[in-house]
This record gives sequence, C-alpha cells and structure tokens, in this order.
Amino acid sequence: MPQMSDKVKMSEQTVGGSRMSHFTRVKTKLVNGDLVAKSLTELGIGFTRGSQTIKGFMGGRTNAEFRIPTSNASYDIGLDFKNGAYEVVADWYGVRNFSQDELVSSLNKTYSVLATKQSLEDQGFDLITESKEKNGEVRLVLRRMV
Amino acid sequence: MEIHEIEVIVDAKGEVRIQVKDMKGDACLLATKELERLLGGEIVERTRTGDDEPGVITGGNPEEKNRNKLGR
Repeated sequence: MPQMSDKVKMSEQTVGGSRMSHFTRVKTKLVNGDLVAKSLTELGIGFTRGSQTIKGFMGGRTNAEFRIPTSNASYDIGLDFKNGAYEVVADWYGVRNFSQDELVSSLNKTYSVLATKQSLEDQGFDLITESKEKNGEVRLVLRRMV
Repeated sequence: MEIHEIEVIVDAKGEVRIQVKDMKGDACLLATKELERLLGGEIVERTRTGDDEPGVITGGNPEEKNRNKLGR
C-alpha cells in the first residue's frame, strides 16, 4: 500500500482543516438600491424613488432614480445608477442645506453598516457589539456558532 | 461546535475594514463574499494568514502607490 508523502499530508491539512484568518479593506460603492433607500431613511433624509427629474441651475433638468428635495425648491439632489454604482448628481451651487462631502460620507457610512448587518445576519451571524468611536468609525462585531 | 467571529470597522467616509478570525479553509473567504459584493467589490487590500502561510495575497498596485508618495 503506497504511503502518503509528508508533502501531500501537509497539503490536505492546509486545504481541509487549518484555521485561516483574513483582513480585507474595501472601498465602498453604493450598488444596492434598496440599501440606499434604507440608508436615506435611517439618516432622516426625505426622498422619492422611481424615474425622477432633478432640477438644477437655470432650470436645467436631469433624470435619476432617487430625488432628494432641498430647501431651495429650484435645486434637487439625485442618486442615479451608472457604471455599476449609484452616483450623486446635483448643481451644488444652489443647494443650501446639504454639504456634498457630508452627504456622500454619511451615506457611504450608513450604507456600509446596513450592508454588513444584512449580509452577515443572513448567514447566521448575530450582532454582538456596535460601537461608535470618537474618530467617527463604527465598529461591529458579529459572531455565529456552527 | 465552533465560534466564527467577524469584526467590521466602517470609517468616517464609509471605507470598510473586515477582519475574519479562525475559520476553516475557504469558509473564511466565503463568509465575507456577499458583504464584499454589496459593498461594490472593490478590494483595496487583502491579507490572509493561516497556520503555515502568512502573507499578503493582493494589495493594489504598490509601484503606483510608492510613486505617488515620492511625488513623481
């Protein structure tokens, strides 16, 4: 009977049984419309969704899936799905009550937190802790027993 | 019975760091596959360590990063 070589033994152990850890860094893109809608709701931002018309400078118009009305009735903010992700469109010149950087950051952050909870809870993970750090980071720990 | 733990840190701009600990074989990567898809799938960096294979699998384009740091 052939003997298993040490190399094969090591290979099987690595593929089938050894414990692995990994660290991944992801640059967030908004790709799921339902999660975008949930994020806006969680942020307390009013919106309409569908085939929307976004108003801008000098009566200019463009189309987007989401319309966020602003305090200036002649200017809207839009979110439209292009090139595989949602992009924010607006004539920021006339938008008074939203900052572009703050809106994009808070939307990305809220979307990422909701995406984490949804995808991992669907796989049987329970949220153990959710903490907000002073530097603005949100730390989530999820665990499951298998 | 095993305990699987995942730590996710979302920074102030929404970039995400995911740390998966102590899962067997490919379960480690499978656990975060759907999350990575929902986040748009743009992996900036991935480091994988095991009992016998520590190291970086992917990490963007190091030449380009270093060129930018040197201001060239």
